[in-house]
Amino acid sequence: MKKKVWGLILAAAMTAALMGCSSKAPAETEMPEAEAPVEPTTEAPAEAEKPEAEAPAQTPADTDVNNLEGKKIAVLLKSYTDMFWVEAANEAKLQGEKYGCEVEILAPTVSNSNEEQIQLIENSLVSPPDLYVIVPADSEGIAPAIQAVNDAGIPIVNVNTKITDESVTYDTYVSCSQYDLGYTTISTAIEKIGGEGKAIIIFGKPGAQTFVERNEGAEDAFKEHAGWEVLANEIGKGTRNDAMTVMQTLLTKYPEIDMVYAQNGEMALGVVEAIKQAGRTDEIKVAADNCNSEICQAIEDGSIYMTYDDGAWAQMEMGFKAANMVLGGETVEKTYYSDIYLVDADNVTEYAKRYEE
Amino acid sequence: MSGMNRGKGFIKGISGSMWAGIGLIFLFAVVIENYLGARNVMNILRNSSVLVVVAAGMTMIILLGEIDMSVGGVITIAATSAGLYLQSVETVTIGNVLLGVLICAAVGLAFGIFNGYMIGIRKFNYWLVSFGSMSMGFGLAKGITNGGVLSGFDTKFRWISMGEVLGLSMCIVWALLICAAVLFLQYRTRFGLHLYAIGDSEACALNSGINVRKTRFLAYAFSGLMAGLAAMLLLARTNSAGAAVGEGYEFNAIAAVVVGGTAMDGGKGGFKGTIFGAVFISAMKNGLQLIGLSNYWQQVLLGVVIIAIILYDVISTKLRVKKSLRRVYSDG
Amino acid sequence: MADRFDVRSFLIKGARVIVLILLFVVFSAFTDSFFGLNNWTNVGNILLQEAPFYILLALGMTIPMIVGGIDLSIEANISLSSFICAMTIQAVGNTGAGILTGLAVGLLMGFINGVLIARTGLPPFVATYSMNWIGKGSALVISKGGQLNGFENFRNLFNSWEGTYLLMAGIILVMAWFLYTKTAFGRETYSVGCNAVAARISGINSTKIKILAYMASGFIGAMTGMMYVAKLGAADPTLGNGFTIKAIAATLIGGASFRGAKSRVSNALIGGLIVVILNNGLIHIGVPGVWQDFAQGLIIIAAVLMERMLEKLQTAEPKVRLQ
Repeated sequence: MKKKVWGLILAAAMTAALMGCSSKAPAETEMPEAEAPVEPTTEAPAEAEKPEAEAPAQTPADTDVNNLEGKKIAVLLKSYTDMFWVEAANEAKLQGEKYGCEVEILAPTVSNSNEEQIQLIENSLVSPPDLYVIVPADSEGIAPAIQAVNDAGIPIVNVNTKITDESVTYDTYVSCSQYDLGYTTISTAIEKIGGEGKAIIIFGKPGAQTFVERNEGAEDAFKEHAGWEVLANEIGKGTRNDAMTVMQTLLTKYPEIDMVYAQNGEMALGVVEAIKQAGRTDEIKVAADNCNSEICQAIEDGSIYMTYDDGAWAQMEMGFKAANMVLGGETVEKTYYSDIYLVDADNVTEYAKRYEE
Repeated sequence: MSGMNRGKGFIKGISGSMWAGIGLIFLFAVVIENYLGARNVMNILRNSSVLVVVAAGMTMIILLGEIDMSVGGVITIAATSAGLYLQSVETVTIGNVLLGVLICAAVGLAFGIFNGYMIGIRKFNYWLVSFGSMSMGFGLAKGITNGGVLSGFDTKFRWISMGEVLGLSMCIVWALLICAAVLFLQYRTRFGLHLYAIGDSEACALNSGINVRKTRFLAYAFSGLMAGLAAMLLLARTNSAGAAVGEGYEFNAIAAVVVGGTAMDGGKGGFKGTIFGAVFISAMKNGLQLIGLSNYWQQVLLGVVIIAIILYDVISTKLRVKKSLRRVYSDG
Repeated sequence: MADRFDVRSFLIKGARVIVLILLFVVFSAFTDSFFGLNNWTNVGNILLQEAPFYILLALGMTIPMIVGGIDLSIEANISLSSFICAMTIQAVGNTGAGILTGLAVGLLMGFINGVLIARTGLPPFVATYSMNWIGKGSALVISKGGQLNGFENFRNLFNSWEGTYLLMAGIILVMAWFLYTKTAFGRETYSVGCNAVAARISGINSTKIKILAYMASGFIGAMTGMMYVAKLGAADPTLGNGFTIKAIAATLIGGASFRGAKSRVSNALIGGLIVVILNNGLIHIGVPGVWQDFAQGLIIIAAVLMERMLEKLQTAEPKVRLQ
């Protein structure tokens, strides 16, 4: 419960901060650039106030200094067709307008393709940006590209999936652990539903780290609850269509299902369609990750039980804040934590506002 | 040696699209700063190195008038097997690296031999067999990794692709070596010429004493081996393996071959064109990215450019034929 | 009854049907939930919810194959036409207009493919591969990567009776079967697929026939795309991704061939059914998700081997085979 409230407060605070920032933006752009590097040291201690809660909630400090103006930021994403990453891209562009910097979105044509990501970075180094915001498809696989960026001496803000290879460096990491996301989703769902039951996991795409980690987290959470049995772990390929087809088959196979964990929003919506069609909405609770307006609506009408949102917007916003600090030469933490937010029937009307624009 | 003449004639034949392609590349060079700078040219070559190796095997198969759908799956399983092995070793030595390379090549070759035996010797339908192999390749990789990803390999192994020799990235060196070997195989050996003969007319080839079964078997085995070597380059370059690494390579390889002017019904074209095709596709992707287009528009324009290039080729050939016909009739 | 019923030739002609029946029997025997005399839900699910889509996908691939081509742009077509259909419905508010626009987009894509291939002589692979990029990219450009949802009238049109998908697939299948086997047009199409030059010399407008074949494929693709939108409740610019390979799989497993004029409409029906039953049955039999692709590959190879065994039965008596 406590976590939920905390999450809500944070969400509200961030939305407020965003509003505040965007209204401030025009004033900032008029500011002469020379003023920029004056303030860093005074603002930095602000973040010391924050870690009052038990969770390590380091967030980059709010600052009025704009070090990004006129700079070029390249944002590397895992995909440009997945809803979550489309939203991240849109948020990045929004942030670009806010800071008055040029944002270049790099994304592989084939979702989660590590090979394409490496090619994109190598190609982009021909006319290098001032800073990279990088979401690697693979923690270690991305190393060759990061090496090239290191060699060129360009700062990196790592977002979402951590770059773990030790031979390369990045400046700061905005964390949102996919393992934790999977683990928390299932633990919370079990807590809310009760002691025992039968569950189905709809796995995303094999070979994609996001889903592999969420899957590990979820399976570990299930193992901790002896009353819960995982009936099947089937592949939904991350798409609504495949998840729906698989779910239709599973519904005919298992007469008794208590919970379905769909590893992303798209698959959850496919699962919901299949369950609706079979008329088993009351019996089966769908737990999901990610959020958008369509999912909020599904939670409102009760077809999705709950979801944990890892907020593409929050991660990008924090990423740009960190980028601002890095380019301003401020000392940054090695890791900042971007929160995940529980959305369920209790808070969905409030939360849906985030996704209304 | 008619095949050889055909091979030479073919270079003249595709020069139309080649010129168009080179024209486009120069257009990019005008618009984009540093497009033809050393760094970017290196990028283009590096990005085409894996594709050119896969497409080398595919060229042989397409010359026969057939298609090897399994390459994507074979790359995936070869890379995954070698990846599993390399991760099981604690401290990687040169011996381990060599064994890793060997595993890639051996897995690729094994799948190639299977395809070759089934298609070449037992004469099963090539589509079905190679499609089955593809499913098995992807499926095995998915199964043995339990859907996961393998990543982070020793720098010694990664040197295979990431190392530099004389300022050239190692994967370009590999691609050049393999290209040289394949060019020799294609244009200077009996095997290479037999491919043209069989692709042109299997019955004629059989009657003129060519061992069709053996040639076809060798072609598929070769394609498997190439997929295995491509897997090695890919594994070392991307530092990761998993159930999806080879996805889409079958279509991209076929596209490189066909853009290079090799006809799908066999007997016409050759590996020289394929090299051009692979590099051209890579140069286009690179250029479209650097011009600053969004990923969505890049996809649209890639399609438009490929159509335009081939169209230019087709139309110029038609015009040439028309012109030569006119000459024949007016002279006669 | 001039011919004696020949078991052997029946076995060969029906090899695919036998595979289908075998799969069905095996899955029914080894699981309780796949099929039982008292348990028709799963079979209903297969027939009403899964098979229609696969059969149409396969059919969309089979028709270009009859004229010796291939259509790799199916996935782009599905994404683009269904998205434009959804967009029109939201903009105009009229379901009929949406469906017509969607079909028009499909036909247009097919027409462009056809013109590129038949008129200007582009290899079918390149033309449709490039059109696939163009179509997929356009769908993303139009949608800016976002999705559309909530078109109740449109969905009710398809979902109010659960047999709608099957009925539509059935109608299209029967139409295609009639067109390509029972009419002069069908015979002309097969002769173009067999030998385009000979067909042209004997007075058949092979350009027109090829264009029509690709347009038919485009039409079927658009139809499938819209059915998917109705089924899923959202229009997604990447809806079709990965469908080309599914379509090729179903077609080939059904016994079609990329050599022109060797494919039949029935290949699409049988191939679609085999793939659907395989996907469904492997889940019921409890093969873990990650091993299902492998099992599918094994079964394809096994089916190929079985077919050869049946052929051996037939050619037991020595025959002179001409190459």
